[in-house]
Amino acid sequence: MVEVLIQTILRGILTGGVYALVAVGLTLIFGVMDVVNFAHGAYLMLAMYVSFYVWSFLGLDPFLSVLIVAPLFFLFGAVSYYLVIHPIIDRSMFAQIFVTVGLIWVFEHLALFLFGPSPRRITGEYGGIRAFGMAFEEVRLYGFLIAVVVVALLFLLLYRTRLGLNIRATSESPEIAQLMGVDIYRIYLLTFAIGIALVGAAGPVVAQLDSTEPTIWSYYVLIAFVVVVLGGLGNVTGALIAGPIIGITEALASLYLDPLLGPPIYYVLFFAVLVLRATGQFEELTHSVRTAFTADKGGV
Amino acid sequence: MVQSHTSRRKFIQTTGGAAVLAGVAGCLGDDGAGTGDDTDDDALTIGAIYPLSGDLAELGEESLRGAELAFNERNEDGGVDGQEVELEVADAPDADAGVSGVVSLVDTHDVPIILGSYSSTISRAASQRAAQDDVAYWELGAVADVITDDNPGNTFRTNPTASFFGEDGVELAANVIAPALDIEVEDLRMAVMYESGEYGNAVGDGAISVAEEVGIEVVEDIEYEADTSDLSSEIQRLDSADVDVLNHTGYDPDIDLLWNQLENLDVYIPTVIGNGAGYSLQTFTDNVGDTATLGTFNVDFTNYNTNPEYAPGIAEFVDLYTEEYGDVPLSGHSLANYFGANVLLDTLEAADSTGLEDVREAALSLDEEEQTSATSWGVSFDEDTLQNERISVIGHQWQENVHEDDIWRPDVTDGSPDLYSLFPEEARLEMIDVDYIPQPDYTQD
Amino acid sequence: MAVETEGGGLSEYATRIGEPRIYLPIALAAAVLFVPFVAPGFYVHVLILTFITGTGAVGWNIIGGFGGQFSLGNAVFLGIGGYTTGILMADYGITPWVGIPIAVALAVVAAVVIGYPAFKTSGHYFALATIAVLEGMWFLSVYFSDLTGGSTGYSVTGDGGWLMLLFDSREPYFYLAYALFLGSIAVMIAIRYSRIGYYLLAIRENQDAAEAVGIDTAKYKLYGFVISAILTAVAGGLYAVYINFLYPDSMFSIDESILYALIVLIGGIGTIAGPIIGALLMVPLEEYTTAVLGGQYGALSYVGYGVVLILFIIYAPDGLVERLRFVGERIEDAAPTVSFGGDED
Repeated sequence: MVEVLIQTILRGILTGGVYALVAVGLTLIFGVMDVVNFAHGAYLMLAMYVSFYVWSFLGLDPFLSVLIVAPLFFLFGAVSYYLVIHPIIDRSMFAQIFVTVGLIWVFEHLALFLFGPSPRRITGEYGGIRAFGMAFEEVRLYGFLIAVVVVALLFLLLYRTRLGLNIRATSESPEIAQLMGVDIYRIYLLTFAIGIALVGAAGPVVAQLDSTEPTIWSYYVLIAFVVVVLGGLGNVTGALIAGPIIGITEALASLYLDPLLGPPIYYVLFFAVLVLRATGQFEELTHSVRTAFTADKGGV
Repeated sequence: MVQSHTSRRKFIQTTGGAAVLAGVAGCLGDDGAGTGDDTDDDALTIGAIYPLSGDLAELGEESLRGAELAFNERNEDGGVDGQEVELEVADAPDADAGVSGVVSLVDTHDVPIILGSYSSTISRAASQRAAQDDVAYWELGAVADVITDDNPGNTFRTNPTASFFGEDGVELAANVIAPALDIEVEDLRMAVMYESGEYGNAVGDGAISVAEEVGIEVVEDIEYEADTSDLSSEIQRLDSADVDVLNHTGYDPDIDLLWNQLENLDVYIPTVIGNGAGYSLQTFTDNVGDTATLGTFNVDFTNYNTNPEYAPGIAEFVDLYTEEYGDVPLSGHSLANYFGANVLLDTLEAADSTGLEDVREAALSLDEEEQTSATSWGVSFDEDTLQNERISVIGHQWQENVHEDDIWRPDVTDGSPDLYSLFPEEARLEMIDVDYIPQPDYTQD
Repeated sequence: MAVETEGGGLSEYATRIGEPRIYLPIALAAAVLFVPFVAPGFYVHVLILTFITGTGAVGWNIIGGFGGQFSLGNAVFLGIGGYTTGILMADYGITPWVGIPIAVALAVVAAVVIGYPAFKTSGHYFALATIAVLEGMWFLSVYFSDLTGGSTGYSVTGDGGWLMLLFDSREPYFYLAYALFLGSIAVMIAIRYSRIGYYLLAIRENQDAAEAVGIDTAKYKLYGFVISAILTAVAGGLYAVYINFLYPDSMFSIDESILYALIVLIGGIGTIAGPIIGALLMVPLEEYTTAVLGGQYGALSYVGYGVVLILFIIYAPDGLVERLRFVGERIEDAAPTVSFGGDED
């Protein structure tokens, strides 16, 4: 039985890695721009459609298509920023939330109009693998690895480049960054574009393990919120820990309790972390863990 | 019966914000509603409520088509007592909209009778509302037993209920699968797995209670949320329970997820019984592959590769549908609604007026034997529940299509999987036999 | 944000009864009483829904508009109100006259239990925390299907008449819902010009400053949240007896939660007229879109709605109240001021 437990936890970690991959762009945008992008899941949904059509028309390996979809979504993110986000970047939270809600309508119904309601799925490209008497799905394993690579690259970008320094400075305090000569609106533009490129990278992965349909975004945006809050706003490495925590919670709840009780459990966790974080107690609690992970550099 | 995936979180897609663009709404006019554009003042107008937008739209539309075909056909044959009949359609993407739809149809369009509605929650909310106005509600496709069990007094249902699915699935397991697997019925290990929505619950609960009556052990009872992206723990439970038969009720996306994960995680289940929904659609085989599809059973309303002697008129219906809509029917929903709409029209022929009491009296007077219609269903309404009792569901199986003389997709003979009626035996086309028990090992694919 | 900061309260409104901006709305409100006599039933139905949803939006405006606390979980109270009233009625035969007060009491408890910890957060985090509660409740209402009927839904039944508030005609519901809506507006006005209202506004403008001048911000936010919970729970109870069918998607509905905020945003956030005008615009248009326009142009029109919403927020962030102010002023100019001799000006 212990093998079953270990296998379940490992599977939860792999699925959680995919959650982290979906959420990392959201946490970056949230952390740097202080904008909650409710349309994050809708961007993912569009990325899944693009991935599906790249796969079905070009016959390209879905994981390779990350190299097409992500750059495409970088541009898409930049355009969205110019048209929609920039005008409200300095406005109230109300405005920010509802502009992104407006984007959801546009994306979802455009997808419905263009592609119809039938679900699509990239199938038959990858199967399962066995190791130590346990079975895993290749898609989730590679998805997890892509998440690790993406987070590592993002980490390098943020902590080893000039641009990263500026992004972090803007995140810390836009006013001071501006005084130091940082063009914060250029930083916002790049941050949003990178964030959307990251969710673009998740598209080909999710399109292989879930159905692509216009309403799929709602499931993933809620999961992404949970990952972002548990991992810490703008904390890209935190996402890689939070995703698997949710994955494990779901997997264990489904195995030992009831599949319907997984979400209530992680929502309680989510709520508790939000409150503890606000009162500072969470930081005390996790201080040692966090310093171990982020060394002396702190979060974004 | 709900077939398409219903995501519960439409997140204001149908709510308010809607609104802001009155202008657009105005420009587009109201061609969205009503099939009888050439409104005839003398025509008898019947209301229709189906989900035509939102998550349920695909099969809501398929259901409406069946009713439309019945109305068109009746008009060509001279109408009801010489009076033309027409449908006034209201879109109801969810239960709340169903209530508004009833109010709009009754108050604005003054319809005396309403038909619908494909989804059980829409049906319950709408039929209750219609009852307050003493308007008869005809349910032609939704399956939850409670719709007629707790009848508000005005609701007639022509189609089989969820408990028929449960019963048929269990009988299939006991009478066909157990012998073929060489297992005693009481030793058969069955798992029941269903999505947590109205549809999964209705069918899943039925299957569990009937299994207990028959003496089949239900070794796992798994209810899961249809939106999920990972069923590996549920699959682990099936694996640990050493299941012989899985009885599954779900929507397309979670059916696809289950089968892809079963294949990839090397969990082989000898026999699977689906309950309509995604298990009836061609996308099932597109998304899970031929090997996994072949041999899968599917308990459902009458689908099209059914013996015309058992379901007289079924081939003609496929022709009628194909002629009108340019393609073969998507699922059995159109046929079930075609049947139900015809029963309603027959009732109106027999009724003195369209008032609830007269409709009730006329409906109760109908008496048609089974195997006389294109669905094979007969007509006889229960006096208390107003549920049609001469109904049945059919056990189907996905088999290789190498036949030129089948009814649904006769042009396909490349051996790809198609759905064939198996049970009862009279429903079977001559060239079809039970096969694939246990089903091919899809994990080796 | 357009908020009058001078004077106020219901008594203040009473002394200014002679001014067009006071007596015109009252005259309009009185005229609405005659709607059921002249309008087709569908319009009456749409207005009932407008009043019920509008009550929720008014409730949201108290905590979200005045207090600036962006709750996206207010449908929790709709669900508590609806299910409590419905279950007590159908399973236990308890009249909604008792059931709704019990529902309100439960909603108050829930608001305190949720609000006390949640108000330690602010801004986006508060919004996310309330979403978490709502989503958790949705799953629980599906899971505990013995109690709620789960996703199959729950029929609210009982004997007809005033005791159970079950009627075959719509008129009684119209007046009940209208009374509720007017009552909630009165509560909103009273709150707006009370100490709670001023403190909430202060908290919205600058919580730290409010705290610095000695306002117990946690306490007053909780007051605001509790009041909005009460109004929303009553709306839920009335929904239960009017629609007679409850299920998790319509009760613990994130759509409804967002709609409350959206109505207020479109109308004018933090204003008295905002939720009223917002509800009168949005609910009927929604009903029109689904019941009349139907599915065929659905997808494309929603794309249009999305674009309009985005443009509206970018170019008209203060809401319709602000945009239409000039119309109101024209009308006021045209209407005479009536003096009752007691005018303060």
